[in-house]
Amino acid sequence: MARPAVSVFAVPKAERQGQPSDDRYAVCGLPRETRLALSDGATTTSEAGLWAELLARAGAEWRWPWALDPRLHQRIQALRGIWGQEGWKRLPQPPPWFRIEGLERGAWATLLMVKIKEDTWWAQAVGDTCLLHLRGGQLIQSFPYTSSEEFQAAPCMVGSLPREGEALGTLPLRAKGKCRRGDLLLLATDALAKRWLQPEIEAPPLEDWLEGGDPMAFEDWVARERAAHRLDDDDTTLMVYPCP
Amino acid sequence: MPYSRQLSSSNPGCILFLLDQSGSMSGGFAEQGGPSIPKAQGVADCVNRLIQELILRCQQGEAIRDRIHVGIITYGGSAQMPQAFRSLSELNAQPLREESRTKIVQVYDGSGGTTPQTIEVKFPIWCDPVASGGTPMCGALDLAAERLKAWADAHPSSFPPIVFNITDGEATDGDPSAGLGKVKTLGTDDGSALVFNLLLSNGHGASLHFPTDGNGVNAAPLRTLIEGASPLPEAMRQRAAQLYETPLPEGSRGVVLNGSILDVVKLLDIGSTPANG
Repeated sequence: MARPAVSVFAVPKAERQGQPSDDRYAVCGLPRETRLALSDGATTTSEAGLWAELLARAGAEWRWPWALDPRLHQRIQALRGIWGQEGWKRLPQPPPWFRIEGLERGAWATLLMVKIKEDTWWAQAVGDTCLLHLRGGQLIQSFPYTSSEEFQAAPCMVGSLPREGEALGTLPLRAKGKCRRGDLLLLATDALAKRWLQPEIEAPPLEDWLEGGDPMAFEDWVARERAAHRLDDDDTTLMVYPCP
Repeated sequence: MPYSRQLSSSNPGCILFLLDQSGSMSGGFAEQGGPSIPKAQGVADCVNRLIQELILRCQQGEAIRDRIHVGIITYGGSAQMPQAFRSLSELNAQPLREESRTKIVQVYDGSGGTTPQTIEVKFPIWCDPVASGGTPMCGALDLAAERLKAWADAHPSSFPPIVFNITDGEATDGDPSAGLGKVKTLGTDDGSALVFNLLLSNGHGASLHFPTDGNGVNAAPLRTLIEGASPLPEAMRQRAAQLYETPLPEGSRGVVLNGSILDVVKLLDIGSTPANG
């Protein structure tokens, strides 16, 4: 059976003016399972895009153990080493004070990992990047948040600085669900997930983005929603996986 | 809902410091134990640190996103605002001076470990400690109202201006009630300007944090500072409750009386909550 294609839609925060966002995603298709990961780098921290990229790639490629497995700690520490090395390499010479301070404080990012095998999905999350499970266009499950009111200014995140004795800083939340052919699994960063979890507002026009043929449809919708103050002006990324 | 606008380069926020630089600011904080530093020095350090913090939060690679404009009005002898409101990138490019500090940083060595490296970093400074003359707080508030009106007119859709008034005594040029009231009437379509008043301790009287009103406070100048401060919006009230580890009722105002150097740090943190997102 052909593996279903994952569609990705992304619009950076308005002020970035064409620069890439600090959200990163990765997809890993194995013979019998698919793994997806989405990471949202905190824009107020240094080299957040790099950190989000490392986490997303590892999240999709690596066979992530559950949180208490010591291999997780080793893996995170290795990623932190890569972040530090790469971050210092990227410094201009002479480095401005704020770049040094930023690197010393480290970067932060959320991480959502989803594994789909046959009719089951498993998810682990640190932070407010959400999985939304749609059936027949209706939201039937969301994880880790279930309401727009749960979103807050400072969600849990994974830090890039090496720390002794801890891996993620917080235990990831876990969930599992059953999916059917034609269901859609959506991975969304916080602004869009929050908007989706507001039942009083019309649901986002997902079908238009998937089938409309207009590559600008998602971007246009984001711009309109931001202008109407219904969508936070934040890096906005959506991954859509149609269950086979 | 007011006070919900996000700070961005297209809709930047505004922080205005009103710093008492009168002669009495040369006195030390009335701290219990430990070395005392002059109030003027302590306040200047906190202001410089906050501006550095704002720049750090708004950096993006090589660039600094101008999500906040900053102004400083000083009042010691006379009220002055030597520089107009400046964006963070302008502040970073044109500090008053730079201070060289030696830092030991841990640099990754490529084999999974780190090696310490000593580097010289030049930190920008925008505010120097000054202590001289009387306390023309009314003059400072008039100047603030004039400059804030121009800023708010130019940024009608931004988060409203945030004003930190830090003093250690009574105004020597009149009653500041009207000036505080005038500043609070200014704002944007996201709400009125937020005024924070911080009276630094002279060693007399107990400290008072975030009262809802001036009831029970006998001294008129203190009541003026309480009533002249804005009620804290929800996010700031939550941050204040977190920092002071105490629940705060709705209507708590952004005011601290007889505050310490730690109160300066905390109040600036609370007031700059919108810059965290």
